[in-house]
Amino acid sequence: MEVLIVEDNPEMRSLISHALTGLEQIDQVCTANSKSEGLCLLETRQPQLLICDLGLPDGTGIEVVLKAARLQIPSLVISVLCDERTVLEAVKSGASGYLLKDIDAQGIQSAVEQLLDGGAPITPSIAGHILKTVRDNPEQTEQSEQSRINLSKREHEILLLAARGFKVAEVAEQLNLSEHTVSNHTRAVYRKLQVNSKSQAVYKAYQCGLISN
Amino acid sequence: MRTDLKLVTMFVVALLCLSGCNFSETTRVASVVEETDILSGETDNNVVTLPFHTIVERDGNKVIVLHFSTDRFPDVEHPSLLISRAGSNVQVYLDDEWVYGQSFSQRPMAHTWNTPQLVNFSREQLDSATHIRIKLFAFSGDHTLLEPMYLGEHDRLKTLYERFRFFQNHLTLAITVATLVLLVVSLLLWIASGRERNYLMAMATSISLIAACHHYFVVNSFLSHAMLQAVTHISLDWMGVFVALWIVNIKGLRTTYNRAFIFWGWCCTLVNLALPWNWTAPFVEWLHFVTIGIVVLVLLLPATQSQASRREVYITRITGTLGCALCLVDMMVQMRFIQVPGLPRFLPITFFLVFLTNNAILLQRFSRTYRIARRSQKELQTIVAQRESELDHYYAENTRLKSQQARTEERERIMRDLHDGMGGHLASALAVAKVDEHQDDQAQKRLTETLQTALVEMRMLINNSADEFDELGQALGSLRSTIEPLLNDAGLELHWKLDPFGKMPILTISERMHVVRVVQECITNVLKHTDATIVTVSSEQVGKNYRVQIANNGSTPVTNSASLTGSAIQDRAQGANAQQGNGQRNMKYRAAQLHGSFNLTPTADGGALATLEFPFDQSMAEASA
Repeated sequence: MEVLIVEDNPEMRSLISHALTGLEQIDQVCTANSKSEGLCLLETRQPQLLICDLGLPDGTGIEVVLKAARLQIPSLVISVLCDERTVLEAVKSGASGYLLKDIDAQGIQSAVEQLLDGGAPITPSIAGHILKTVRDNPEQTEQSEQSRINLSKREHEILLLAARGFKVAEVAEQLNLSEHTVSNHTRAVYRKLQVNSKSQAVYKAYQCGLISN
Repeated sequence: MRTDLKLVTMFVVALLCLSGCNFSETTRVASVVEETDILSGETDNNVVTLPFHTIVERDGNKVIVLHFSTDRFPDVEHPSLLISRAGSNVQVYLDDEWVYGQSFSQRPMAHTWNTPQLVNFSREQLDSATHIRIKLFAFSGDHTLLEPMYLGEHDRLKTLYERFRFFQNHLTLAITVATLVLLVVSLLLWIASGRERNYLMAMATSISLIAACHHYFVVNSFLSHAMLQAVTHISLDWMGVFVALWIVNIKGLRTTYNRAFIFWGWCCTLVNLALPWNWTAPFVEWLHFVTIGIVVLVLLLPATQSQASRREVYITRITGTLGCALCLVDMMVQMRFIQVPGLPRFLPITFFLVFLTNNAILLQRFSRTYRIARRSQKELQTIVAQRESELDHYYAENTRLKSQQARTEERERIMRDLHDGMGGHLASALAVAKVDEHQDDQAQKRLTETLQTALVEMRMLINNSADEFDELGQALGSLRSTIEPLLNDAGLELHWKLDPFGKMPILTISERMHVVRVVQECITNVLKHTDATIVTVSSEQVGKNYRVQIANNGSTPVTNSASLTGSAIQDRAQGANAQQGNGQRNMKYRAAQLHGSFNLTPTADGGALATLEFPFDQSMAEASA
């Protein structure tokens, strides 16, 4: 399995590479230090996993994440902070997880393993931001109907617990579910956000005349 | 279609006027003669005044013959007869001998109409006759023509005659001058403004001027009576047209009604000018009234019908039709096509009917409009008050949101700056430090800790500054995700027992930071000053308060442990006791800021339990949910 790391900071790039080499599933790690290089490598190498920084010298890493989503490649976003705007933008673009830059090698390995096993890493910040998005979304206008995120009751409960700091295992225990089921629900939330993001983009494209009937 | 009908009606009336009046009044009045003996008059200083108006009662056009005995004539040397206002033809006879005047088979001559006339007799003629016979042609209804006559000495009557002439001349002159001034002003206005109304005024006053001039010339025996009367009525007709247009205030001359009025004015003009010699004065007078009547009818009906309800349209149509019929009847009666005793006038009835109907309709419409206006005004006032209230509310809300938005934008700017600037550098430095950790250098470890702490601090600051109000549970959850890796590194297990699904307080940024700082400080103290292996964070609602507790299972103070904050490093240098004292003071201070309390108590298993309790506004939590 090949992993593509898009990170302009050489120290961080080195730390992530070092962490990934300890995993059995990872055969090869290729790196890029800019958005353009990352986009190019995504096309040519078709990796099985993308780890991408958001603040790149020639643009935002969101574009790289978007392209990975189109190519059905799971991606982890790595950033210094996890503010609402950045997190939601990354998740809506197709990111399956979010790593902080002060994470150690073990943390990186854990998140990657979880992702490769079909899970969906979620942090309290991500869960909190999603909950706020759902809660604050107005339901009056036509556009808001398009962009409304319909979460199930169970998904809502999982997000609430995750936002309050409960880990996946603890969430599963509270809800009498298996960790696998909790991960499935988390993935569904991500998927809804991404689908919603796509429909919103299509709606805006129609409005702007970029797409015609 | 309605307009066409009105025009047709008007033209039919005009046609009837033109065709139905070709008759000789003279032939008709010849058979109606009334003779009256004047037995006496008031005698004053050899002048006898004959008050004819008190003894003559007329109905229709007649020839009146007045008989006066010459025995009663004053004994004067030069006898004369003064007729103060001869409104018609006058013939004077001494017995059967003609002395003065003209035949009644002709139209009245100018010098015999409406002017004082002085007839002289010789003493011999008067002595040889027994009666003075005065024949007067009296028009129907023209009572003013019968003025007193005077019999007496020629010189005295001559003085009186000159006085009458003087008065008439000056009155005519005054009218002429006034009309001339009005004409000049109107023409100037018309030239200055170019408005059609001034044009009409100028035309009306021009005609009036001509009439006045004619009147003046007639008095001075230059023109005929018929011409004078025709011109006078032309003037009156034009004035009627002008007044009608002025009343409705029609803006231009291009409308059908305006054209109709002007056309009617010219019709009357032509009628009066073309047929003055064969037509009688009553007809011209009557034509003048019909003109005004038709103008008023044509004017008022459409004015009333505009914007009227269906019922009002029917009422005005019926009234208009009745009015037109009455006009026609009146015309027929006046022209003797219909023989009605006493020659009643129907035109005033028509006017009364039309005005009454239209005014009633207008009054009703005004009343209805007034009620609607009052109701609308009240509704409008209510709506305006409501809108103003809403506007005030929106304005206040908008101001609040703008203020909040400004604060949020400023926080976002600070966060971005921290994120893009210091955050990147800290993360990079931390990565370098971790890579070199194998050197087992104490200073390197402290550097790592310091960098880690700085990054954690910054992240907490940013995460908790995102929203003005946020749930406490999410702030604590972010704290856990931030500090747990460090606790695990130090061998301390964190048990997380927050209320999973219950309502949690919604706090401001500073309130959240107070709670998070207390929890963080407690965990730091556990890490630094105890040998605990487990620290438990729990939360629950207790009555109207909310309680957050941090418990540990340790008992032995330690001096060499990991720290979570930069202040902890300074505290460690100052000694454990001093640090604990400062920490508790800080936590109590933060609890006070939350209007709550902070307590630290020992537990049965030798550990310690820190309890932070503060008021919980449940309604705010439910509203945000």
